[in-house]
Amino acid sequence: MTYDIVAASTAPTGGAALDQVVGLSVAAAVITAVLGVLAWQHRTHRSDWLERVGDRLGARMRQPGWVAVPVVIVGASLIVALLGYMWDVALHAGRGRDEGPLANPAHYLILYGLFAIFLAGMVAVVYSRRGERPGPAAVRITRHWYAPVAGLYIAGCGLYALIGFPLDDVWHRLFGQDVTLWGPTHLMLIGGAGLATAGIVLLVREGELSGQSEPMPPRVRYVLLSIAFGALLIGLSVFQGEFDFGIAQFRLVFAPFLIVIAAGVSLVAARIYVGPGAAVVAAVFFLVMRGLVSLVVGEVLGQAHHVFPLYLGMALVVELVALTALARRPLLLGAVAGLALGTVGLATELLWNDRFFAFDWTRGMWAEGLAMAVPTAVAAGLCGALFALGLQGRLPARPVSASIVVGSLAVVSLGVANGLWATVPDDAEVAITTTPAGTASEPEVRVQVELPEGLVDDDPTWVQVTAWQGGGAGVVTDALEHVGGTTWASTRPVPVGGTWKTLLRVQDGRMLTAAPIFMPADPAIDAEEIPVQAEATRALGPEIDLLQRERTSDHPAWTWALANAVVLLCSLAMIAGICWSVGRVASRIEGSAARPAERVDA
Amino acid sequence: MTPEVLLAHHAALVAVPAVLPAVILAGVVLWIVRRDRREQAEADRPDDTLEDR
Repeated sequence: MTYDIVAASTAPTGGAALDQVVGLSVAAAVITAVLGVLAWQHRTHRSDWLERVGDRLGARMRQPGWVAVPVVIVGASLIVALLGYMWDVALHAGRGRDEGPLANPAHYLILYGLFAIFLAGMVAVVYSRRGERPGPAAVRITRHWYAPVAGLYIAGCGLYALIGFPLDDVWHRLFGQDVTLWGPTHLMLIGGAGLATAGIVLLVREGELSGQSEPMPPRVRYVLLSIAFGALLIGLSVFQGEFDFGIAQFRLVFAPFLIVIAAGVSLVAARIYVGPGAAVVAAVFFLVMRGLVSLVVGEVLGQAHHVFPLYLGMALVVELVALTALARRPLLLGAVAGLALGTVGLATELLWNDRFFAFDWTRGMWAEGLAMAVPTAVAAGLCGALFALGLQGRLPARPVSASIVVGSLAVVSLGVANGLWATVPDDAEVAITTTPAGTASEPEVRVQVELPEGLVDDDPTWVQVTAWQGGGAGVVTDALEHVGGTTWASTRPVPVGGTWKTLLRVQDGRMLTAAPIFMPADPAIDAEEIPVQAEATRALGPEIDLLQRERTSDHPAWTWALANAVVLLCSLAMIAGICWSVGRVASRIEGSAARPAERVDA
Repeated sequence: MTPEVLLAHHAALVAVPAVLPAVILAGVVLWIVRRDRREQAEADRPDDTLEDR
């Protein structure tokens, strides 16, 4: 029966599917036409409502209309996108892959959020009329039409993320559905949205520089900008999603590594650009928003529970470092704050992690974790300082700025490459003993395992059982207890049966492996059930075979490499885009302060 | 509760009303830019600033 459904549904020419295609295409045409006509009417002075809305909002917010309207749109929609994203991950963790294009409600929220980001950027782009320049860094569209550079950047982020949606579909058709956050197209979706927040900070700056509105009252400016950097912190933290849900499919050293990147860039930039205390306000905003989203996803929507980093200790570390004489030397401040984040800051996150996250940062991973995190934290702190300096129009000489950006990318790339380097033991087998627990309708088992001699040392990163995709209840993990010798035992019963995928996972150093305890039959991918047995000896293999069972490997290797390369290039283009935009704003500020004639275009 | 799931079919269809307008509108702006640059080149009068990219 399942076969029939799959065959019918995947066939592209079903009547219902055709209806959908027509209906959705009509919707696309209508939306395009409406937005196109509105923009055309605005630009040709056939309508003034956008300007009136902009004036009214702008007067209240003390921003030009081309800043006020996009800021309101992004403010109202990024939170929706964040909620959609967390809900989506929770649904996948709890239920597995989607049951069709319309089955996952979270996708609508993400789609709305991404489109709103694009729309916000476009409003900034089309807003200024009569040949008026929105700020000194405005980019010429035509001889009578200028757009703020941040508007173009935000629209670009939105477009990039939106294109990720259909590409995601193509990706899944080519390679099977990989239930991981770190699929390249998933990174497009979350990266585009995450980086758009940096554009908002820049857009507000362009508005200030334009002199087209009264200056914001200092207190309002402080709060607004601190919140914007809090949004950047949220945006840069989306990549940690798998750790937040306790279903990390990569080595645990990635957790501190990703945390210092987000904290280094956003908190250092907030402190230097906005002023004392701004890093703390940004971290508090992060906690409030992520807390709310976690509450809504876990408690209100009843999906898989997730946690998030604290960042408050990190923010205090940045604030303390900035209290010293370093405050007068921003780049050095960035580097030293980065160093402090990678050490003292991570120590505060360690306490938080081991208290609230599914898996402890065990001593065994400290050395490698620090080796990855410290240089990265310094690089991130430097980039944060550079961002702030760019906003202030005091960028260091071009070779210095360029070296910092390129060097940071190199450090991060090395970290990622090292993090992804994982090994699987050869021909290792594990003896698994299960004892029934739970009820007939909700079966559970207690597990005891006999690991092969020498597989792990005294302090492995994790020896754990994960059960997920059981149908809404979320992710169940249990860090096994070392009973003695090579024996490890569960501390609580874990669910099996139904659609649960229950597996033993072992990570120690580079070694990352797993063995199935129970896997349901999955005719859609020709997979047979792996039943629960009282005693079984099972092979320890690559985790990806179990965690991403749906992935197919019957495609030429070059297609996989090419697809990854395209997404990598696009990501680099995004980073180049923000660097160019910030550089352009900075050079215009410097130019207006110094002799404008000598400057060359950024 | 049989797992009547699909293999791929992510959200391509649902995404159409958002992705298509975005791509088309971005394309229209790029087209306007090109047209203006061409007209300007034909008018053969270089702008007095280096403001544009």
